[in-house]
Amino acid sequence: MSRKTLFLLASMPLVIFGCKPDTDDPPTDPGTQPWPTTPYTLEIPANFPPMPIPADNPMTEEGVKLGRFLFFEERLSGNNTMSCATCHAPEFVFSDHGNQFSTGIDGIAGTRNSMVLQNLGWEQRYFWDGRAQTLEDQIVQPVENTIEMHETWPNVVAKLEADAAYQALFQDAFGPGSVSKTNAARAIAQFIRTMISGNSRFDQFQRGEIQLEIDEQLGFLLTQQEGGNPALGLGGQWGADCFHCHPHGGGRFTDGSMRNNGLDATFTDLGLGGVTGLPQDMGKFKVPQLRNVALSAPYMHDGRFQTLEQVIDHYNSGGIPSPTIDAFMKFTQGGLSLTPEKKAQLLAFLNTLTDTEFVTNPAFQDPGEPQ
Amino acid sequence: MVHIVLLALLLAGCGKDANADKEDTKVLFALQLPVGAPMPVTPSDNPLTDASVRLGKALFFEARLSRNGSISCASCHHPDRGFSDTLALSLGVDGLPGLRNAPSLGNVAYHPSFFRDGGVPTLEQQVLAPIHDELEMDHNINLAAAELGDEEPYGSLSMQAYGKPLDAYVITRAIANYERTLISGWSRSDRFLYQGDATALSAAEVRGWQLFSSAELNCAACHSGFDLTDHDFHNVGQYLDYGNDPGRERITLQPGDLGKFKTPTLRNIARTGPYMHDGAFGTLDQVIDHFASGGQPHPNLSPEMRTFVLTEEQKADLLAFLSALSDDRSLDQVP
Repeated sequence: MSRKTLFLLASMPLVIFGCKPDTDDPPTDPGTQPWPTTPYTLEIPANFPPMPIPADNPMTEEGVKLGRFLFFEERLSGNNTMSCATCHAPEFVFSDHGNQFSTGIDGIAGTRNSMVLQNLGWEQRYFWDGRAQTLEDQIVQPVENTIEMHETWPNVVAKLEADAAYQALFQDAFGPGSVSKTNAARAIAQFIRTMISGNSRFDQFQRGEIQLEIDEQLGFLLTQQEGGNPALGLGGQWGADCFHCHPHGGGRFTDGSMRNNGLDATFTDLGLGGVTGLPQDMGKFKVPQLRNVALSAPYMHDGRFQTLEQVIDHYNSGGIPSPTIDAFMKFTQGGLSLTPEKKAQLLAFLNTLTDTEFVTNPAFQDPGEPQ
Repeated sequence: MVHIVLLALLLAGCGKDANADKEDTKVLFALQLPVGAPMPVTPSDNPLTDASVRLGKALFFEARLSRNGSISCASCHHPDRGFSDTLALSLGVDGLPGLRNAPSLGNVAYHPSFFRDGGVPTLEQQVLAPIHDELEMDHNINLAAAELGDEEPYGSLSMQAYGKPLDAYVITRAIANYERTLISGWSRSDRFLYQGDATALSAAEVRGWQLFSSAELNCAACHSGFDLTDHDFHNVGQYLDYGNDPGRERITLQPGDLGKFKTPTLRNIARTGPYMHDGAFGTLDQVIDHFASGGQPHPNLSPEMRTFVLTEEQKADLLAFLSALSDDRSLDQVP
C-alpha cells in the first residue's frame, strides 16, 4: 500500500500541472511526418501469409531495436522490478515460467494465465477475452493494470525521457522528442511482430523438408477427423475433432474465434461476456494457437491444466455443458471416446509443433541496459 | 497398411429381429478401410452385411428403378467419375435436366446430411428422393419393388439380407449400405499426410498443399478435415441472385441461409467436374478463378472468402495437389 501511495504522490505533480498533454500525442507521427529509418524486413516462412502491418506503424530496424529494449525494461512497472518479459519469458514461448497465474509488483496474483507471444502479427484480437483489437492497444494495458505493472504511462514516459539512451533510441525510431506512450507501444508492437515461429517439425513437414513419424501422422489424422460416434448420424469419425477451431490452415492452429470449450457449468470469469455484456458471449475465450504448446504449460485461460494429457482428457470428456458451450464439444455424447493409443498419437502430433529455434532465438533475448 | 474390419462380434449381441435366425444375415461385408478411418456405423436396423451390399450394388446399377427403365443411380453417379456426372445438370428419364449437379459419393458414409441443401439426414432417406423426383427417375419405389422382386438376384438377396421380399424398406437400406462402402482414404495425399509415405507427393504437390493450407487462399477454412469438408453450408458468392435455387434456405426458411450450399468433399475432385451446386464451372481452373475473385458481394457471402492472386506456377501446384486427392481404390470395393 505504501508503495502504491508513494507512486500516486509521485505522479500528482504531473497530473496537477498540466501533465504534458502531448505524451499521448507524439510530435512526430511516422504516418504524417516521415523520419529517416531503415525498413525492417520480416522473415516470413514460406507456408505463412504476408503479415498485415498497420499503416501508422511500419516495421523499422530502429523501432524493433527500441521495442526489444522496452520489452525487457523494468522501468515500465511502478517499482521498476517488472518488465513485459517477467511474465512473458522467451524460453516459455513468452509465457510465465509455467506459473498458473502471474504476480504483479504488489505481490497480487492475476486471474488469468499469461498468454504465449508468437505470430501475434496475424491475430485480430488480443487478451484471453479478446478486448483489444490491435497489438498496439494491447501493449499499453498491462503497464497500467493495478495488479500487473501498476504504473502510469506519464510516469513511464518521464522515466524514459530522463534516460539519454532511450531519448536516442526513440529519436532513431520516431524522430526528435518522440518519447511517448504511443511510440513506446508502437515499438514494442514492432518487436512482437518479429516473433515469428515457423520452423517446427510440422512446418518442415509441410514444406516437404522432412517426414514425420507414423504416430505423429496418425495424430495429425485424428486432429482432422470429426469427433464422436458415427452411429449418431452427426458425421462422427471417432476423431479428436481439433480442426474446426484449431485448423492447420494458415499455420497458427487457431481460427481466431472466441469460444466456450466447456470448462465450467457457471462462470467465475465471464471472458468475452465480461467485455460485451452479451449473454451469448459468457464464458467465451480466445482460441489459442497450438504452436509450441508443449512448452507453454499450464493450459486454459485460468491455467487449470498442468499437462497436455489433462487437456486431451478434458476434450475427450466432451466438456461441461453450459448455455454457451461450443457446438463442437461432444458433451451430448459422452465425449470423444479416444483410446489411450489415440491419445498418445495426439500427443505425439502436438509435440511436432514445438519450434526450439523460436524459443532460443538470440534476437528475442534480453538485450541488457540500453546504451 | 490396410485393415480389414470384420464386425461379426458387434452383431452377436443384437440379433433381436425376426430374421436373425437366417444365417446369411450375419455375414458382414469385409469393408476395407484406410489407416485411421473409422468403420462406418449403420442404423441399428441396417447392419452392413455382405448380402445387403451386394443387393445395394445391383440396385445401384438397375435402370428399372426409373419409370421407363432408362436410367439407374449410376447414370448420374458414374463410378469412374468419383460417382458424379459429367454433365452440369444430370438428365432425367425424359432427357430433361435436373436442378443441381450430381455430387460425388466418396465417404458419404461419414456425412451428417445429404443433398446440396442438407435436407435429408440419412442415406436411407436420401435414396427415395431421386427415384421419385420427376426430373430424375420419376418412378415409384413400390412399383419398382413389385417389378423387380421376383427376379434374381433381387429376390434371393433381399431374403438373405433382410429376410423379406424386396420392398421400399429393403431398397433404401441396401442402396444406402452399398454407398457406405465407397470409402476414400488411399489417395496419394492420404499416403503422404497420414500414412508415412514421404514419396507419395511430388514437390509441386507439396507446394500445392501449402497453398491450399495457406491463410491467403483460405481453402482449408471450409475444406478441412479428413473429408476436406466441414460438412457445413456456405455462400461462396457465386451469384448475387439465388432465385433459381435458394440452397439451404429451402430447408431452414432463414434468409441468412439463402445461397448457402453444403461444402463438397474434395476427394476425387479432379474427376468430378463440372463443379458447384449447379455445375456452372466446367474446370477446376475456373473454380480457382472464382475463389480468387473473392466471390460476388451477396449479403450472405462467407466471411472466409478471400481474394488472392496466384502465379501460373502456383496455380499449377494447387491443381497438382487437388489431383493428388484422386483415389482409384475408393471407387468400388464390391467384387
